[in-house]
Order: sequence, then C-alpha cells, then structure tokens
Amino acid sequence: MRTTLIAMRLAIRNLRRHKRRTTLTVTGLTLGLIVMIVAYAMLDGLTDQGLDSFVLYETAHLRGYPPGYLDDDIYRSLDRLFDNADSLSQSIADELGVQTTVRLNIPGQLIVGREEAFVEIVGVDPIRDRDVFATLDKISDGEGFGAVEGMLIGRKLAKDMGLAVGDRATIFARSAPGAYNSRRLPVIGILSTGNPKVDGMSVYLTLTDAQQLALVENAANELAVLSGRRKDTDRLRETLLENGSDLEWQTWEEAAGGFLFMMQFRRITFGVIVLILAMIAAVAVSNTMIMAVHERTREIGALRAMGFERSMIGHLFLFEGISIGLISGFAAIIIGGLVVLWLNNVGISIAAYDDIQTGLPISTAFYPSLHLANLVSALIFGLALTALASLAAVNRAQRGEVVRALREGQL
Amino acid sequence: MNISVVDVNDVSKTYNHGRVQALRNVSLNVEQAAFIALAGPSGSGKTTLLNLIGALDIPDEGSIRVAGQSLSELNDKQRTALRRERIGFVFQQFNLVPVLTAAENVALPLEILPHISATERRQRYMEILKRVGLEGMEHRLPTQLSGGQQQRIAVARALVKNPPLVLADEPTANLDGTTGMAIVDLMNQMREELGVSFVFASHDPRLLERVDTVIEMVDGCVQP
Repeated sequence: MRTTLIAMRLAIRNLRRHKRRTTLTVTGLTLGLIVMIVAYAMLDGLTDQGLDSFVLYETAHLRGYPPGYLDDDIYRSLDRLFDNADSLSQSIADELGVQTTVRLNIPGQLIVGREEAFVEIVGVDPIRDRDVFATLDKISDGEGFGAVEGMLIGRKLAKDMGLAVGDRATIFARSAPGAYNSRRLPVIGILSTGNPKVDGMSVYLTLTDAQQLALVENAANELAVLSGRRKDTDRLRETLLENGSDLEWQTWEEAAGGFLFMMQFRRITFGVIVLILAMIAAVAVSNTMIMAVHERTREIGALRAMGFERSMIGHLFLFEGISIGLISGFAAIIIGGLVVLWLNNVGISIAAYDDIQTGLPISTAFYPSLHLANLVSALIFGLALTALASLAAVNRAQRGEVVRALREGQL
Repeated sequence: MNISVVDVNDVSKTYNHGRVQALRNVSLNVEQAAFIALAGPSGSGKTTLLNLIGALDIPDEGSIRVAGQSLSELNDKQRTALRRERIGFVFQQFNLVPVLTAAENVALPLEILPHISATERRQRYMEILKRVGLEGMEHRLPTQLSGGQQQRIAVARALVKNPPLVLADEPTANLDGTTGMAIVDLMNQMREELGVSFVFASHDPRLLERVDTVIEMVDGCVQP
C-alpha cells in the first residue's frame, strides 16, 4: 500500500514536472474522449428521439392488423379489414386497461391542379386517436377535426404541393370493392410533427370520411395500443394472443426494426472510428511514456539500487500513464458533458436535409442525450487506453539491468 | 574481534560473452567501520567490484558474502531486499529523484522498508539531515541545491536506514576539490559515529589520502 502511494506521488509530480508534454498528451486524449462522448450522445439522442417519433406518430406500442395484412403489398391494404372496429377497440381497452384507437390506412393520391403526390390517407378517430398518438396535437396552422369537414396534411407535403389552410385538394384512392373513388376537401390544418412520414406523405381524415372514401362501414385495418410502459409491449402481445385475439400484432420494436438496425450499424461504424482514434492516441501516450522512461533511466537505476522491486518501478510508470487517462477522462466528462447539455438545449438542426431521405424518423432537429453510462464509459475507456499504452514503457522500465542503467543510462 | 561486513573470495567477472575480462580472481575483506578505497585507472574493475559487492550484478566465478549473506544463494528479489535493508549507495551523479524534496529523497529508502512508522521515519530523516548539515533545507528540490549539498543529501539517503555498508562510486568526481573533501570528511565522521563501513571506487588522490586502506586494481586484479 505504501509503495503504491509512493508510486502515485511520484507519478503526479513527474507529470507536473513535464507540464508541456503532459498538457499536450492530456489535451489530445481529452479531445478524443470529448468526441467520443458527444458522438455517442448524438447517436443516443437520435435513437431515443427516433423511437419516440415512431411510437408517438407511427407505431404506438403495439398495432394489430387483420391476418396477412403485413405480408401484403401496401396497395392492397383495403383487401384485409376487420369489422366492428370501434367495439373491438373498446373491448381491448376495457379488458387490459390500455389506450386504444383504430385507423384506416388507404394508399392514394393527393391531387392539386396538375400536381399529384402518392400519399397515405389515414382515417383517424378524432377523439380516441389522441389517447394513443400525438399527431393531432401537432397542428401548426389551422385547426383540428371539428365542425368543418376537411383534411389535415403534413407540413412538407403542404409545401411541396403549394397548399395552405383553406385550399382545396382532391384525394383519390382505390376503394375496398375495387372501384376508384375520390373526394375534394379543404385543408383545415397543417401538421408539424418532425416525423418525415407524417409531415411528408400523409393525409389525415376522420375515420368516417376515410370509410366513406374506401366504401366500407365501421371497418378499419389497424388497431393501435398504447400501454403504460414501452418495455411491457411483448407481455401485452402475449396477453392479447392468450385472450384469443385473431389479429396479427406488431410491436413498436418490430416496426422500427430497420431504424434500430441502421442506428446499430452507425454505432458499430463509429465504434470502428473510435478504435482507430484510440490507436492513434495510444501511440501518442505510449511515446510519451517511453520518453519518460528514457529520460529517467539513471533515476530508475538508483531506485533499483536503493531496493525498489522491479514491479515497483513498473508501477511508477503505470500510475503515470493511468494518471494521464484519469485527468483526460475527468476533463472530457466535464467538457463533453457541458457540450452535450448545450447541444441538448439548442438542438442540432437537420432541416437542411428536409428533401433528402435520411432514413431517420426525425426531420427538423435532434437533441443529443446525456447518458451517465456514456460518461463512465469514456472515463473507463481513457483509463484502459492509457494503461495499455503504458505497458511498453512499464515493461522497459522494469526489465532493465541496474548496472547498465547506472553506468550507461540505458535499459 | 573484527567483524567482516564484506567477504569477496576469488571472484571473476567477464562482459560481452567472455570477451572482456573485468575481474580476475579478486579476493577482499571489509571489516566493520572500514574506510576503504578501490583505486586504479578507468577500466581496472573498481566499479565492477563495487557493483558485485552491492548485489547489483552477479559474479561468473567466486563467492561474495555481504552482512553474513552469501549473494550467490540469493535470487533477484532477495538481492533487491538485501540492498533495500543492508546497503547504502552514493553515486558520482548523485542520482536524486528530481521531483522529491531533500527530505523526501532522504526518507525514500525508509518508505520502502516495512514496519517503520511515519513518526519514526520523520525522526530519522530529520536527524540525518542535521548530521549532514542540511537542516532547514529539507523542503528544497535537488535543483535548488548546490552539487555539494546534493551529494550530502545522497549520503544522508544512503545512511538513513542505518546500513552496515555504504558503497560510493566516484563520490567526489562531480564536485570541486573543497566540496569533495568536505563530503569525504562527512562520510568519515559518519563512519566513526555510526560504525558504518564505506567502500569507495575512486581515482581522486585527495580522497585516497583520507581513507584507511587503498586497494590498487589493475586490469581486473587486486595488486599486492
């Protein structure tokens, strides 16, 4: 214990003695760790916000479909419907104590003059949909469903089609019996959710209007469920299946599978970049430590002559290396943490990529998330990196012969 | 009765895979409170012999006993322990730890000895600093001290653990004449006060005048 304290004291003093070298090494490592903290915070922020966007605007926690619906081509979504949608939705809500709503999804077109766009027409229950989704709460212009008949459309779709509140547009779709049907309705509100699918390619009607367009009565093709906690979803599905539900259920996690895979891929890609940066940092730290050993060869010889064990000499340099990691780690936690907090406050705008398919369920801005695990990981990573990078110097310091160290200043 | 602190018996040492014969059949005896110098030109084997006595190196042939322990029976760890507990070293270039103060340098050998309390440690290093005339300078770093003062610290560091033997390799070589002799006188005083044996390797004639015995070495052999 006492020798450990001696080693630590000498390590700190030697770092202070070579201020410029220590500062350079610590600065380099700190910057690397800050990049790591901020980048992982950005990835976490994107993931967290992306999943929130999926759940709030697209997937809820669980969605039920008529059997075979998910395997079918999207343009045949009216071929599979379930009847008595309202009562089915209500009975599940009552039975399991969850929020439910039904939707009717219809692939169609929005036509304004000569302009036309392929859209997803979504029929929603104006009251119950709010219990499950946040879409109808995100009207940035105009108003929601009420006394006036009309449609809600996404911000980007409105911009692309040159539509504003009060303008009229035609929606055109194949009905359930097969014949094409159309309705000309005014735009009563503009939705700004930040979700590219909702903002860019969706038209919302009341469930009744959508059923009229599809020529069906009290039928729907999606039953969305919101439970208390996101992680309870699998258990909820099991309960539904045990209770004899004949719908095909898809969890938010399954629906967001592509996004999660993409984020995991990005995480791995960034991990590789971090490893490359770490190798560069390790070379720098290793170089610093080997220089320290070279400069203090006679000192090492004197300490060995005095009775310091080889391992004690090794500890001197190991602590010196680890101290660099410790200082850098804490500095990175403080600076990186503050940077993340600031970015979390102001957000990182991706509005410039509005017209580009980013594959992200976010289109306006995202906010990096500060997770304690990332900060601790950066500290541990810094410590492990400097410990590993010090091993060559440690080995050289404790391997050398005393006589040679004292006489020739070489190990 | 004279107690033998070092007993070197028929020791030989070669370097570079036997191409350089550093020592040839050297025998030597150092008694308690001896003040001995190994003299001779560069390459005569003085430092090699000092290193072997100090358990820093291993002889090819022959045997060495230091403070009653046969060095050939000790492994690396045990030789280190012997140095830690029984032998003090003074070097030509002082070899103080630059980041430690004078007091911390002197206390360092005590810090790696087990069973010495902080109070005892402080008592011992303060006493030895007083003896070497550096009282009041305990908080200075080596760079804030003159060469003579640094060597005094080195002597204090060698003596603080009360070893029976101190080995000094060219202790005056980096000092001016007056300072060098003051250091030798200091060590002589310590020898008398503490009963420590000193073995020097030196070709400084003024030092050789002050020791009890001068052992001449030429080409790795002790001259009769």
